[in-house]
Amino acid sequence: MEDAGCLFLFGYNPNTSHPLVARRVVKAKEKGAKIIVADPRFIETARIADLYMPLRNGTNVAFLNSFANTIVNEGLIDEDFINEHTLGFDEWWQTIEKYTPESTQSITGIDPGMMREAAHMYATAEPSSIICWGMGVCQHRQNVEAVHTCAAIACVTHQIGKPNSGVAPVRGQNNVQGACDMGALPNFFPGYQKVTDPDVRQKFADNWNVPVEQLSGEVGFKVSDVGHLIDEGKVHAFYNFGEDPLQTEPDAKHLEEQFSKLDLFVCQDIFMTQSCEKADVILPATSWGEHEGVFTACDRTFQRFTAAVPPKGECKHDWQIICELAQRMGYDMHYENTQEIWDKECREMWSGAYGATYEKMEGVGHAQWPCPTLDHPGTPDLFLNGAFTTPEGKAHLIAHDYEDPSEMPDDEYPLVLCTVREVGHYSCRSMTGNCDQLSNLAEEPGFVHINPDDALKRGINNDDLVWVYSRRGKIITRAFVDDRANEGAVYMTYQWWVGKCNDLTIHRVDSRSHTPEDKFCAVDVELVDDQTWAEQHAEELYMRLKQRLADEAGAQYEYEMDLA
Amino acid sequence: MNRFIAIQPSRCVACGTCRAACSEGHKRAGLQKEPRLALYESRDVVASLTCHHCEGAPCLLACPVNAIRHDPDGCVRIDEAHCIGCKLCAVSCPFGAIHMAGTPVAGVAGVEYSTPTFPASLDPILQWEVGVYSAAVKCDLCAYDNCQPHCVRACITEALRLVEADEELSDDETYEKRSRALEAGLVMLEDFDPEGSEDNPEENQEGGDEA
Repeated sequence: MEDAGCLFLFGYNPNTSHPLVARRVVKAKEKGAKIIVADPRFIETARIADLYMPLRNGTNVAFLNSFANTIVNEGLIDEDFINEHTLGFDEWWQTIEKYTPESTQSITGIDPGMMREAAHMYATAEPSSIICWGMGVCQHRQNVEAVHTCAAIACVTHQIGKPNSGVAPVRGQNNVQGACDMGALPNFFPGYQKVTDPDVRQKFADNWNVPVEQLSGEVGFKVSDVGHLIDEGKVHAFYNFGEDPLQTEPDAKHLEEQFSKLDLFVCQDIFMTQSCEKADVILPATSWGEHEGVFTACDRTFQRFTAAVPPKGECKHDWQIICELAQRMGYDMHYENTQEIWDKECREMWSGAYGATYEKMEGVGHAQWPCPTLDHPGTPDLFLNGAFTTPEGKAHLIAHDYEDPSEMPDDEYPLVLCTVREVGHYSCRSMTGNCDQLSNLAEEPGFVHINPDDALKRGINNDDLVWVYSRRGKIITRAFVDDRANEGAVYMTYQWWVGKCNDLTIHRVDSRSHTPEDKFCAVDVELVDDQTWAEQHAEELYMRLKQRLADEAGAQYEYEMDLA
Repeated sequence: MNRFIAIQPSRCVACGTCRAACSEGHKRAGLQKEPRLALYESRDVVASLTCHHCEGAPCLLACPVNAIRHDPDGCVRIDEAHCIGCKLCAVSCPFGAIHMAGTPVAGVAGVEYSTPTFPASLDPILQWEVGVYSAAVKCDLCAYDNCQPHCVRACITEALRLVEADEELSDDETYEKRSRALEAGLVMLEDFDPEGSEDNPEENQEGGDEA
């Protein structure tokens, strides 16, 4: 990344999501790379960018189509690469052709001149360019559509299939890539082997010593659908594992009602979260410092990590809990350690990981898949020289027309709410919220970032407590009057219990990946009249919730004392 | 002579690790855990800001109980134990680098949780919490740890560094900077005459007195 000639950050804010990637962006800049940032909010990287493109919220596909259109019309495509390594250019162009920078300006708000400058900067950079995107692409209604177009842009300009180039979709959490690699997806076994393929099912059935009929050939449900599947009577039991959906899933109040209809709700976690509070059974697991295993970074690098301390109390490793559950359900699942799982379930079942032995990953060693043989050095660059992994060996160019987000702002709810990350706290905050120093830097009821003009119109000063409300709920939080936020949009992070933006967000998912539209819904913000009362109210809400969770956790000790 | 923490804003990624490290270090030393660096973010610049350890520091002159001293190593330090919480130093600091911090009473002495009596948007200098003894805090260059500032060690992009006494400035540059600061009313220097030459400051000061 540091050696690329141009970094195009699209819907990705590395400074809050991944400060170590932000460090690489700074290093790339110091080495002379051009930085393009396209984001409705003036994110931290925009400050050091060569070009900052303030597109309007929710207009990703229009923007990317226009970017692609400009690349073609300015003659910046690599025709040889397109002819030899891609399919469907003519059809792709039929859609893209309509999106000239002039015609899309009214949608995206981007000046055509700026679009041309960006297209030249990206397409002509030496030695290469990288498009990075994050949740700013994925958590929109047209997420897969935008990803298709990003990939097509990299293909037509030949900014893929050579070192320090390509597409860099970063992940929301440290081991999302690893979870996908290991088949924690409804449609894949480990190593992206399809559940719909009978040969693959036979292979896994043989390895696990079960009849092949026991392995379903149907693609399963996605976690974002659990709520309405409960409503439809299709899901009766939910085994929730290392997640706090009542904090992190959209329209959380509604989800809580749906969870209450479950026959069985199991939570496996390391802290008493709001979801654990509702659970019938809680399985106490180990934290990152207590267990060992392999993470996969978003660049496909396997990294081994080791335990710093042994588990405390009755906590068990995730893999031990799963084994014991399987045994009680009548299947003799047994492993001695994580290395045995890695060797038997991953390396032997997935050729791309065979060369990634524990020995190779000893200490700070690592292996980047595909790594098919023991002496294989790993693969830093995918699709080198245009060798794509589709059946035809060529990239498919796919284009889509732009559509508006699901819930557009109106007179009643005039602001766009976009959920974002902040640097000090991670995910649902069950871990970082228990760290004194991090709580010291940012604490409940969290913040809503609002443009100074929008704040002025509502009589809001910095640090004032405000109501934020949508069609789904109303919460209290603190205003952060921020000239980096664009007018007409507000930004909240999703980890605050009191200022809980997921009481406001809309539960609408896209049809392909079923990812919630967390980056766009309509809200309004209002100053709380009595600020001193508001401070007390927010404090009280927080303390009451903490007490409730503490009481729930304390019930266990009471039970143990009864037994004694 | 003074020493201070300097930042190269182009390298800062606003991660806040410096603040967390500052807080952790001081807490472990039994001092207030309030971070002594502030993260300033605007569209143009982001930077961690902290005490400049001024020569002729106004805070030092303002303190009525001599709880602030200019140590021989070039660092201006507040003794939290002797501070009476009068806030005069915080008011007199031209950089806003001093603020108050105290240990909340919530969780002890029969107080279950704190009951705020003022909005958080109130200026920090005017904030006052019932029953909380507060002291002025500011950067002390981690004096509790052999003056190895924790923020500098924690910075992931090496944007922060400890500037040793006038390491980069020539005498002329120092003089020029002091003159400008004095003209702008930013500092008070008792033994510095902007009209004179710094070659022989004592002589010049005497000359000034005569005139």
